Amino acid sequence: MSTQRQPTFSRGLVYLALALAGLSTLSAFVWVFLISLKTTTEFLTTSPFSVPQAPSFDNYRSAWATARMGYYFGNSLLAATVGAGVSVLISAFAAYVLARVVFPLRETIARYLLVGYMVPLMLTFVPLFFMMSKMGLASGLLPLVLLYVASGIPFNTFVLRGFFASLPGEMEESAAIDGASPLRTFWQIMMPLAWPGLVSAFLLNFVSLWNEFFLALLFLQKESATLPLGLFYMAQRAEYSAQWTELFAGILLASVPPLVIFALLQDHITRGITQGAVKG
Amino acid sequence: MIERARRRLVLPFLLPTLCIYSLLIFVPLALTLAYSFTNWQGHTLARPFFGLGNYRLLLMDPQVRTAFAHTVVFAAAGGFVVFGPALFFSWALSCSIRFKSVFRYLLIAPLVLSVVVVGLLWKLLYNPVFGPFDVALRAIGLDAWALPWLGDSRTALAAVILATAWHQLGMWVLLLSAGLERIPNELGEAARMDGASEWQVYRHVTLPLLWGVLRLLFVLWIILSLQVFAQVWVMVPHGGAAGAAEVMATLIYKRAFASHQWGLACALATALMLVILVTSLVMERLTRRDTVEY
Repeated sequence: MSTQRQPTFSRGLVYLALALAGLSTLSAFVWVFLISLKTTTEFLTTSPFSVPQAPSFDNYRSAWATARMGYYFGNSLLAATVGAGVSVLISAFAAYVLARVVFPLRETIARYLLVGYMVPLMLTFVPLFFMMSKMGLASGLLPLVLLYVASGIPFNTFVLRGFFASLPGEMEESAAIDGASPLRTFWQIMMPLAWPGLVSAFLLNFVSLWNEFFLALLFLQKESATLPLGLFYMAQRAEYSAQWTELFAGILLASVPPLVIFALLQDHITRGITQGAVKG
Repeated sequence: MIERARRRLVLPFLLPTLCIYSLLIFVPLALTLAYSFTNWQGHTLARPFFGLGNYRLLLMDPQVRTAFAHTVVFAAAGGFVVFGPALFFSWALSCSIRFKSVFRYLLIAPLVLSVVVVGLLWKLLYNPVFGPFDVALRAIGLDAWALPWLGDSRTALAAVILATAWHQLGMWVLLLSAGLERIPNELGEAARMDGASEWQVYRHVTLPLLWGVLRLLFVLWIILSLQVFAQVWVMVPHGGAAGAAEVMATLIYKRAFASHQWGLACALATALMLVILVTSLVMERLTRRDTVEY
């Protein structure tokens, strides 16, 4: 809803508030950036607002290599890509039949899958951790990815079911009449049609898994951490060793990729978010 | 004929999802309920039946009471700190203004940052030695006000709430904007023609039409905020020395992994699930108004 005529006063207020909010966010990052260019000695002896005397990217180098952020980065990329990809793919299978094939217990199964939407893994982690240990999956990227796949299922099947249901049925019918098998119709007709929905769902899953902390804390050791967990341990180290400047660099290294990706894919990601909440 | 052929897809297409979901989401949920009635201690396999013992214990535990109170404060105060600005900014972004996409990006971008990144960023901002807040306060002579915000038991929870609000603002602005977009323009225009002020238009036209979305978002906020964990764990490790920022989720985690009272942790988790369920149902009821058709 856009308002056309507006009094100057309220318009000025709008600009002022937006500018203040934007500037405060920007200035926090500028502050982190400036400190990340300082050496530890300079940081501890000068004002936290001063411009670095001899700006250097050493902190980034040591955060990436010595503090192993590069390795954590790879782990995060792997876990988030596989977790989001597999989750969206298998949810798409389920969502397709739940949306477009009539069979007994259809609504019951859909409702059963929605239960997980209300109950987060945050509250069932005790038996979960125990079960995973019993299966020899108490630690490492494999159990983490499995849980990432599982945790996306309720949201993905719910959203994609709605998406498949909204697609026109004629092409599916005519493909079937032309003799294409149901499986082929699904792969060659329905999946391409559902592509925008699949992409939005994947990106949204990816962003939330890239940032996931709780399950990583539960299932990963320090040595095999993902980026959020690695950063968490790096901050603990910084408090004891006063390696603050490296932490500032680490925070920026972890923030820039998602911020850039978001700038490029804003529409896809926001569509995914609003699909899940407002339209549902 | 076609229907029958397609029905052959049902089982193979449902199976992977149903297996993974049942094993990793549903079974742990059922087991959490079941184990909450046992006196299960840590890694032993013995899970002696304990009846409602855990529930009796947690009702008497002052730490549970504190954590519960903090969780309620987090959800309620956080709700105001998030929804107030989110309502304002979603409205501001719906106005015809210049540089809208820049403002929009700056406002909602933090939602793609990890809660760890945001927690650590704010931990640095709150730092009593080099954090900008305290440096600025000392510079203008308010030394007594330059508190260790996260270390002081009077301010720790509020400091976590503020940081969370900053992180989450964009998410709720985005969702409210999606709600606003669905409201047709003409209604506000008509009211404006009749001489209504911007505030009157918002209060009497926009807000009633937005209500359906807003109450859904309230419920969503309640569900999410009552299980808050990571923000606290990152900014105030272990919920603070004196439990200053202890919330239900951090307490459950500590009961499970620090003191190995797994049965008790399951009971706490079940209780929190019930609280979430009841609160969201009550919220849904309380916010029910006559729906406005448009």
